[in-house]
Amino acid sequence: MPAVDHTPLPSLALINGRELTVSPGETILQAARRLGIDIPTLCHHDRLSPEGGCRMCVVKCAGHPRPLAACHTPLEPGMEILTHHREVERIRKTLLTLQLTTAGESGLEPGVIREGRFTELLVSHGFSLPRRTPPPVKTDTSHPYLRWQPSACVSCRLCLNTCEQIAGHFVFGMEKLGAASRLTIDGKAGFNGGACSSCGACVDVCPTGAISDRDREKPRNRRETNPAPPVETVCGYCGTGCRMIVHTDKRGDVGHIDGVPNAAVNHGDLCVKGRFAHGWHHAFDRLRRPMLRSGAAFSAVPWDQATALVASRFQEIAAASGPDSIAALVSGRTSNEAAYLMQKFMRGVIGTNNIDSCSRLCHSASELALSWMLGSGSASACFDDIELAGCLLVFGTNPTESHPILGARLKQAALHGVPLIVVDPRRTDLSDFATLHLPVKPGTNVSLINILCRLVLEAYGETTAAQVGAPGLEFEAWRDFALSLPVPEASAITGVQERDLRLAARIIADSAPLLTLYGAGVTQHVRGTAGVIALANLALLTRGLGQPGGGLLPLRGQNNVQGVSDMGAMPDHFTGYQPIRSADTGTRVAETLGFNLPGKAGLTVTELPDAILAGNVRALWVMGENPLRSLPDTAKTRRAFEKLEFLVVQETILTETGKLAHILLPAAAGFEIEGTFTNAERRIQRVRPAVEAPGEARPDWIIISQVARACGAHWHYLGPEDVMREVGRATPETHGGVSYQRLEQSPDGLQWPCPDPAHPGTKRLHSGGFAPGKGRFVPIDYEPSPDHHRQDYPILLITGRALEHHNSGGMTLRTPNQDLPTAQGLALHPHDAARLLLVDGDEATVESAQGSLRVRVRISNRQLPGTAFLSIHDGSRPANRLVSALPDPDSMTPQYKAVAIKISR
Amino acid sequence: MFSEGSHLPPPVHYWQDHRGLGSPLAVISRHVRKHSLPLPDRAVAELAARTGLLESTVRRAAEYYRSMAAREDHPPLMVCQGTACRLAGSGKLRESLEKRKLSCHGVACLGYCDAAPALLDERDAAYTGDAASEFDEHRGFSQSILGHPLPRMESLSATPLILPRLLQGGAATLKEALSMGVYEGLRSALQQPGQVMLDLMTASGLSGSQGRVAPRWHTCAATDAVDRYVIGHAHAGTSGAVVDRLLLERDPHSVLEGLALAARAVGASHGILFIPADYPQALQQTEAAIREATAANLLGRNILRSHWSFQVSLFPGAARCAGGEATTLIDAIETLRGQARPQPPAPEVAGLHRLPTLVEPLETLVQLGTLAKDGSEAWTAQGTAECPGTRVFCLNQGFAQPGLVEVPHGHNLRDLIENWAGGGAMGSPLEALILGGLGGSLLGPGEWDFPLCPSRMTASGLRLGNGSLVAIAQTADLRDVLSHFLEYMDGESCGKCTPCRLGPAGIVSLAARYERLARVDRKPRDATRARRDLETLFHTMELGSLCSFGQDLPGPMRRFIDLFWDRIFTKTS
Repeated sequence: MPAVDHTPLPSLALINGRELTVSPGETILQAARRLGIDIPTLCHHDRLSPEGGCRMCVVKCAGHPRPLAACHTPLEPGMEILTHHREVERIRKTLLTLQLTTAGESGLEPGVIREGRFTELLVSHGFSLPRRTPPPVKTDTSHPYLRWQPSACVSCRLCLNTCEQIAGHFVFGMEKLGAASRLTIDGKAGFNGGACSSCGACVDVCPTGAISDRDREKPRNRRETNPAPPVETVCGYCGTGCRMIVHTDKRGDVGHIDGVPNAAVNHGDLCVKGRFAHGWHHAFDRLRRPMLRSGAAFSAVPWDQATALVASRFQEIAAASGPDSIAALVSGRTSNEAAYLMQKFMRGVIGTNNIDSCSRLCHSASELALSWMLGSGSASACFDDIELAGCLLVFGTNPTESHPILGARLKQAALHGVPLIVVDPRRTDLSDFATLHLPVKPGTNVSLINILCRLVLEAYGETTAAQVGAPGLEFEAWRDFALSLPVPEASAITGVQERDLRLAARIIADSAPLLTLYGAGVTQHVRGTAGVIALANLALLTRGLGQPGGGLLPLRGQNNVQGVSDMGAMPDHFTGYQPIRSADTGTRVAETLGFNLPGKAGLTVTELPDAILAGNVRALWVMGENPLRSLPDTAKTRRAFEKLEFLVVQETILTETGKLAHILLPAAAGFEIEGTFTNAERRIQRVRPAVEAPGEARPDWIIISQVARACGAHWHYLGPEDVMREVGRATPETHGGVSYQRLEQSPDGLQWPCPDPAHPGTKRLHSGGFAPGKGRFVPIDYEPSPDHHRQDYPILLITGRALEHHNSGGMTLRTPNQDLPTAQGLALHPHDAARLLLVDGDEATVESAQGSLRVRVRISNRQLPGTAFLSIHDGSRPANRLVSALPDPDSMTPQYKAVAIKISR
Repeated sequence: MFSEGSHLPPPVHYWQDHRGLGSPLAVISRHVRKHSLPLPDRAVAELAARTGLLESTVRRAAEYYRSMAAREDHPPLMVCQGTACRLAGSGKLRESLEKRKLSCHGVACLGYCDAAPALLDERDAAYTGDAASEFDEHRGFSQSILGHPLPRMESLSATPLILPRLLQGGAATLKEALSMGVYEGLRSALQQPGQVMLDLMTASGLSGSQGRVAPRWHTCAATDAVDRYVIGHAHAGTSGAVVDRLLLERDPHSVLEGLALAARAVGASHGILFIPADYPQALQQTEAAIREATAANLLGRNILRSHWSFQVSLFPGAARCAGGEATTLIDAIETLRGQARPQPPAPEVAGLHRLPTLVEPLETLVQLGTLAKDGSEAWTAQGTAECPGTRVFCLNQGFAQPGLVEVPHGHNLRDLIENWAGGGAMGSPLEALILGGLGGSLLGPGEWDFPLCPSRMTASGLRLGNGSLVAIAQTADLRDVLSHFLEYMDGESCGKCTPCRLGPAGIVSLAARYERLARVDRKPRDATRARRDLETLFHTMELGSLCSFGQDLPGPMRRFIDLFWDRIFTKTS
């Protein structure tokens, strides 16, 4: 038999006479774009499902009685499409005429439409632009940021679809029918109604300016002449690391902010903080000049004098009491380069390991437990795994408020049918979309995870379990431990019904791979490290680590809290988590950097107040931190800081801590610096200055270098780029291949480990297996927290963030975010409130063993009975006054998430 | 995505029964009918607790039923605005009621076209004809729901397929239904694989208004999916839905049996009945029927101890839903908005929650029981070769003898009008006919000589629509009929696509311009241009609209304007 060629002929279609190969599922619009043919659209957006409403994209197709809408009709072989045939052009013009002439019925006032996508359509179809008229109704400006002008709305529903299909909120609706149909915003409530998260995604897509924002509606003179080109940088709030474009206005201030389209992390989306809360950069109380304390007041001093003073005082104290009497704190907001230099200064110039960062207060437990168990202390997975996951376990984190962009991605995944299990004492926004919500009692995570492990093991049965337990992983011992745990007991401890526990385990067992996203709800506990170990056991059991769509993803709270730890701002680790105690680290530091690493591990920030009070630490350099607000037991922290002989606070604004400083060094803020930030998925991204720092404020890395030079060190960095080169030399395993040149070439940054310049970066850790001796199962049992079962303090308080405010609110409270409707006050379950005879809005006294507060009570059935929630942003009611200083003995992270309190009227 | 063979519980949707209490939406729609919006937080919390829905969902659902909400906690009268009622003077009726300070709410169609005009009082009792015209707000408590007389009904076919039970007075309860042989078809279908039902369907050639139904079923059954849905819908919001109302009120078990059989054929596990919330009695009867049938194990888990389970949910639709267009119904169920969706994909391929979904009118469903029980002979024996079987026509009160008639496909229209219905009421000749609702066909007196067969009609550019026939008498106010066309389209358009949303308003403004120009009679050229613009607009609406509603409506409207142009515009000036 002769050989037959089985390769199918390419299926072809014609668009405007040009031939192209049909690819299945591709719409006519997409195919035409491939040929560079532009079909006009109004309601279409590439990231949304085709709407098919505006009908501007109708095209003629030979043999079809009626024109086809290009946006939602797939191109099929043999089609002959004419995109600009006379007939469809006439339909397009008639449609635009309809929009312009039926204003009385549709409510559209053509003269109000702002120049943009709609006016472009008018012009390209031969219409003259409508004469500008004042809007018949006043623009709704009741929201701090968002603006609504109904008479410019063409009912394209782009806002509605964006809100639902991307942001995952359901703010918009359509009311009435026909020409009377109108867009509604949160029913009749408007943007202030509570459903809107103020992310501003709708503003981005609105073609007519019906929905706009405060930044875009600024007076023309500030908006139009733009002296500098917009700058691409990275958001300075949470650890998601959204890329953004900062536009400046005529004065050189931040004008408005857009997301970078197609950015790997955020795909062009931003949240309320990222997009709008930039006003603090230009706050009137930004620190502009170095200030020296004299008595109770501060007086400005020149930089030279300030750096010289810092250097001489440090040297004096070090000479008198030894280098370990000096300590430094680094914030998760500073750049990698600044963090690196600060730890290098402390270790190389002062000669102490007394350096720590705010990571201690959130994810030290993860760093410790994960590096111990798996060989690396950071996220094994990446954000793209959210869409690939077989099952999502969201544990002790409220991403729609703390990491809104990730929250939105999670919500979409859940809406697309990925099973989602939310473990949180509070019924969070995300739990409404979850397959299952497990309202766990605060502080009982370990028991919950262990019992899930047991039930998953049972669901797997013998065969699968045998595959998990490769020899040498100590699987059998762990399995015997897990199987010995009684389910009813765990149910009693955690407060989660047995039925729900079993269902959760079944979902996990059935839908591999499992991606676990967790937050401070796991780590900020006395048994935080144990919680992470238990989660790692579950991850090992479900075999998702290193697989696409599986693994562990600790959500980091600040823009660069990951990077600060990577840079060695830890008392026991040098860069890239190289242990101080290891001789190799010392040798490498001596060889590459030319100094001897101090051998003794330093103090953690949690231990600092006691060390100061004991007189062991006399001087402290705080860079970008506000320990008086962020450390537990505020009263003791204040006593300690007041006792310090020399406190240097390097800050952008005057914080509570700054008020106690002996010298204040004005630092440049996020949009004013050059450097890199590393997000929660280990992605190192470039940060560029978009605006000038106010007054004499300087970037952190310059300040540290100058102090170092004043101390006599021979530091001569040409810029942050130079610093990163040195980081690469000191940490070749993870940062060896990272350079600014490469970061310029790949704007989405590099995910470490990136050992050499040819390495593409690492999306997932452990994909090639674990380091020798790692990846073992570790039996770890539940122990109650000291805050449990206290007769005198019967309620467990959870502290945390609110969507609108970042941590202690230093930045966001200096922006119009303060006017956003934030859930204020102490949230209490109605049953608890009723028992205490409290009604919504009552003032009540909250007491713990550490201190007391007067707060307003907010009754919320999203709260688990027996628990309360208080946001940490409110400076007049600092929640940390209540938190015990007793930390997790392993990670030294305080228990912010389960504080025994009592409430009285 | 859920993996194959997973034993996870399927997601429970809000429109499903959560607590074994029936449709949660029926509870909310009834509440909204009796209370004004927005509902206070306490009411929302109570409804949420009762229905097992989230509070935000309760709020959204309540908003969906806004059009029927009470005003100041007093339910308004529901006055039918359907074509038949409009011609019978429902506009004036509404005016006079409102003059008497009674609150009224206009409804697309209450389903009493044979006895128009119609209204429902605040207790949902129906008043028709003179009783409606002379509605007395101080009346005693008299009307009961089944007390309303049945319309004249007849079958011109020896073996009626749609109306057999209604012709015997109906079978509202399970006992009556069983005595008339309902569910026997389901019983026998359960003995055989679903494919048998699918084959029967193909063999019978059962036809709806678009022609044969079976091809869509085959598509639905052949699509690769984990689950499927079947939606049975009363002709929501279209004028002339008498037969749907009667079937639901008096023959609900046949509808349920049909739904189950359709599901059996295509492999669906869930059925939804989309019933306008404006049919409170039909809703109540159907709800009771579902409960009875579930209790008797004719629906629900392991039906009649077989391995097959089938759940039925009731979805009370806020009427006015683009004339019941399939994707609009699906969107209403999924998002409570009711907006047309682009096709492809057709609902049979990816419909409700992106699963293959069969959307069938009740008239198709009620035939399935007999088909499963007795086989396909009754279909192939009557009707035309293209479209076997029968069809019910509802003739409005503009005819001398209005009522419902079941005829085999292919029956001559003129014969039906002149012989069965006796021509126009009071012997007056008819100006025109509207066949199949406003999106159907408009026929002048010379255009009645054709066989009523969907396939042949489509070939000649005519549409059978929902099978209603409305007579336009010579005395009719033609301007009012045109306004009715425009108001209907404007009031029914989901508002998604521009031509359908703004088209009617565009027509109004063009007509006004034409009239102005014609009256001053100075620039005939401008008047010609206005008429040409009107033609362009119709063209754009027909060709440019997203769904069949917007594509179908301009046709009859244009025909109407063409026929009566002079009488509408110039004579009145």
